[in-house]
Amino acid sequence: VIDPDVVGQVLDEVRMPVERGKVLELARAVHDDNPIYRDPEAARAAGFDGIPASPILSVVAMHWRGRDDDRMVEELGLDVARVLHGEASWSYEGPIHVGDELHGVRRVTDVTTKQGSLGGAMTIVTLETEYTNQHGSVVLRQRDKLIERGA
Amino acid sequence: MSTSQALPELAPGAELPQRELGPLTEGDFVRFAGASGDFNPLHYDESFVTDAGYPGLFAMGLFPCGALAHYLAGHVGQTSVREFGVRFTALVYEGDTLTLSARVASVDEDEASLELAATRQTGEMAIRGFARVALASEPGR
Repeated sequence: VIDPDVVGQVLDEVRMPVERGKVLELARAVHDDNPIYRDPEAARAAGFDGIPASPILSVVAMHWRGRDDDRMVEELGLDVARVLHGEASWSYEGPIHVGDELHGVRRVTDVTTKQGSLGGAMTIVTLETEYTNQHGSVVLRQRDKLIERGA
Repeated sequence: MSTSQALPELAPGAELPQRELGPLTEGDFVRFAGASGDFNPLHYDESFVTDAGYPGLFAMGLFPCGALAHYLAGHVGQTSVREFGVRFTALVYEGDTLTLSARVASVDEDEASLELAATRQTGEMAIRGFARVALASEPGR
């Protein structure tokens, strides 16, 4: 059972470089052959200061946190077997390029419990990860909703 | 950015050209696992998946989500996208072909709100997406 006092609490922090290889891998993995994700000249010709990060670059935080998210879910007091990743969103606050260093701080921003349609209480936990670059600017906010179905 | 790219007219009701992705293979899931770091065996280990009671391998939700994010960025210019989000509504299985689509729901002063979808060949929506896109290019983004 989740403790409602976790709202506002920092869950974890991550430091990660924006790597050229990862940007290319992500673009290729989703079948995007836009040269801005692999060729610095093409990126500059398109108006970028360097190779831009993939819009879903923050998914690589999984590599850098050094633990998987199941542990985080358990520490929140949720039952991993009943938890779904329901929603994800990204607010793009500033440019992110290959070579940048990001610092992400993940917090619980909301916990809501409601009666599920099939009986049993459903718990929705909202997480927000704020990413700051090496210059101290917030460049990205990621929000995730975890849904724990009723037992 | 991007002065070199002709941005589409983002008027209410306008649709971006659809894109088909697939048929998706185990290789697609493995490639995304390597790129993202999500090595949950549900996405590449056939016997693990069937033991867990699923009909077959399925994609990590962030794979079709990422495809939709890149599809949007490719059409409107990455620096125009202020916000992009998804709701994971159905699983995407090996062999599926997804149709990526986007439609302008509304336009206000300086941004357009878009509704996006990644839809399976069955007609089932796997990802329901939304985005806020700046109407003028924003170099600081």
